[in-house]
Amino acid sequence: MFIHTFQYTLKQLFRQKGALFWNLLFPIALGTMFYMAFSGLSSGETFHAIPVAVVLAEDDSATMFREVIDSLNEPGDDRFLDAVYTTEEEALSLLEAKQITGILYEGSSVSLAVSAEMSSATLEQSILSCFVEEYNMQYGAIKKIAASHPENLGAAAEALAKNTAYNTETTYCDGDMDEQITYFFNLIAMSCLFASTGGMQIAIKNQANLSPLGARRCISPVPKEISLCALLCATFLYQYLCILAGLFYMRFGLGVNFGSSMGYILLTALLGCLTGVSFGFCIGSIGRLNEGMKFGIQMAVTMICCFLSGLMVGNMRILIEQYCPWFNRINPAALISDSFYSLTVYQSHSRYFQNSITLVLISAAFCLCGFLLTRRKKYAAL
Amino acid sequence: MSTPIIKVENLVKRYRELVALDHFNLEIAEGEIFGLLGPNGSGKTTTINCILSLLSYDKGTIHVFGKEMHPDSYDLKRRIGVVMQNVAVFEELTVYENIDYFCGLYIRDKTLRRQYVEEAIDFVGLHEFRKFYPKKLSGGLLRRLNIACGIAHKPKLLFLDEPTVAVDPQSRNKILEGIQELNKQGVTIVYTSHYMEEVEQICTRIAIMDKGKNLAIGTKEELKRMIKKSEIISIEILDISEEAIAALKNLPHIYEVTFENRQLQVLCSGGRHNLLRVLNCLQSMDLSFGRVYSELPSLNDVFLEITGKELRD
Ligand SMILES: Nc1ncnc2c1ncn2[C@@H]1O[C@H](COP(=O)(O)OP(=O)(O)OP(=O)(O)O)[C@@H](O)[C@H]1O
Ligand SMILES: [Mg+2]
Repeated sequence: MFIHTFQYTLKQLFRQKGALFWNLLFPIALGTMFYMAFSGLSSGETFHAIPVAVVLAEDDSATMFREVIDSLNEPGDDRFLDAVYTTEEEALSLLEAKQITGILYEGSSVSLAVSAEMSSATLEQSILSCFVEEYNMQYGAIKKIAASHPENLGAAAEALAKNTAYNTETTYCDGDMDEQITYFFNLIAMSCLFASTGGMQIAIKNQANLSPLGARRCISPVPKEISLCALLCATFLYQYLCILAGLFYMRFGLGVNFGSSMGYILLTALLGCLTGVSFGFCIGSIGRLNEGMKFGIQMAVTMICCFLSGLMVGNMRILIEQYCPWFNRINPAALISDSFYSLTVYQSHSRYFQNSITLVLISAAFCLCGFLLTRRKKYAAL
Repeated sequence: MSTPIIKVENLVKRYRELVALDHFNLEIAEGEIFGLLGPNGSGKTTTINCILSLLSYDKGTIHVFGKEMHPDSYDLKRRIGVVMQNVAVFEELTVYENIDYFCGLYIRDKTLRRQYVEEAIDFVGLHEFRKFYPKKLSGGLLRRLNIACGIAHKPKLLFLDEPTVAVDPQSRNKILEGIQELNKQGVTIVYTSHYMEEVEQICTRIAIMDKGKNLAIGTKEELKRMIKKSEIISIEILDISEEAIAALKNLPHIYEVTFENRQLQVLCSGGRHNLLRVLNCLQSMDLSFGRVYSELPSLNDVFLEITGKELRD
């Protein structure tokens, strides 16, 4: 029964011309458009030091931050930052004049401010944001050491400085510096979330009160759970194949360089697709809202998520990171594109896995929700 | 009667304030073709959906094949076939694939399934259209596909909810014959329809329902016996006086006489030789008349009398 439903569902999906357009051709077309729009711009730029202003804390107690900045500020080929120490007002006016990419504030932890208007410096902004995050993490570790084993502090600080310097060279500079790649990342993220359209159909076609076909399924001797699982699997496979096609087109047709970790990229696409399908399934399962309404909600949420992760305005995600960081931790579109960043730009596997796990958790939550909402077997009205 | 194949007791179903089924009772024995007759909105579809455990109900019990019916009574569902009132087929699958899909939900064995699907296609006469997508089928052909999807797995109990709407008379006859053939093979059938003739033609027992209540139940002869009207006599007459009409009304067993458009209509309840008596009476008054018809009441008359409304679509 599972296989029977699975096979027929796949057959149906591949025959839906409208869906095939949105799932397959639309991302490919959009990718091609990005490619053509960027082809003049992309010049394989080498990495330039990122101009920043550093605002130190009043008491100037933590010399470690200063040390790190100074080490990154050393002139040379691998110079990471082009830092100036200023007061806050000066820093803000520099930022306003677009002479710097961001401001690093030293406080109980280091924080970053960037300007919304500088959408041209997206990549630099995101690198800074990643740097700040990593610094804070390691600084936190050192503080703990200081509290528990003060005798090891010197060694730890040294390790940190080294580590950061090491990161400077490899992580930040060797990562792919192609500014346009962010758009492709977001495009894939969007395709993943578009998979929710398919997920929604599952819920509708399996519910007696939502469609005559659902009623027909409900009177058959196939348990609802089996039928749902078959539908979910088939839809997921279909959506993933569409995304793979898009990905391969971008990689080999357009020659977009996704870096060396293609395997991980495929994994992220898979998780993203899973999130998309389960999200749609969850929305589709919500009671008796009519189909148009559900489609509207699903589209709106998808587009908002994509917008906030930077599909339209490249540096949106970094701005969110600044004002409302928790949202980036749960926005699937941001998680997907951030996973890609982690692989190619930051080369931070811990961050990549953190994103992946969050995606899995989100999918599981949506699926669970969907199952709970459709658990009912008798309906008050059809 | 041995244990009934369907037993519905005191079923009450409300849609908010609207009472769709009001203490509805029904018993259907194995081997029957049971007709469920009722005007639009009388609760036929609701009854079927309750029996199938698709709808929740407020009160009552439902037994199918002697067991209480639940949404997960899969062993019961396996033996049931349903042709829904609304066409439910997949747009993206061809005629053959649609039937095969639904049949496959019941029948695992592939060769057996292929045979069943072929038989279903024969049954509804969709041979030339097996590779067609539903979009390309006309309304009637689509209905026929809908029927095929419901019967392909050879159920023991078959619900047909107005299956022949929009099907042309020829195909309809073929389908009705097919249904009778299925019945001969031992399938119990529950049939709802607006076409009185169909119900008269094939149903062994009929329930008349209105506003969620079961008003009368029995064979068509029993039902016809239940009503007052037993004969309708129509006579073409140029003109007739009030006295003559009054005289006719005084004859025994005659309870209503109307004259309209040169048609005299005399309604009789019971009694024999009513026609003869009427004609004798007319002759005695020296009234000349044209053509004379005498009809027995149809189910429609039964309907009209029991529910007070016409059962016409
Ligand atoms: N989903 C629903 N919500 C509210 N009321 C409903 C719903 N479905 C049916 N009803 C009401 O329940 C009553 C019975 O409807 P039902 O569909 O069972 O009638 P029916 O006998 O099948 O009519 P028809 O001959 O038109 O098919 C009607 O009055 C109808 O308005
Ligand atoms: Mg109905």
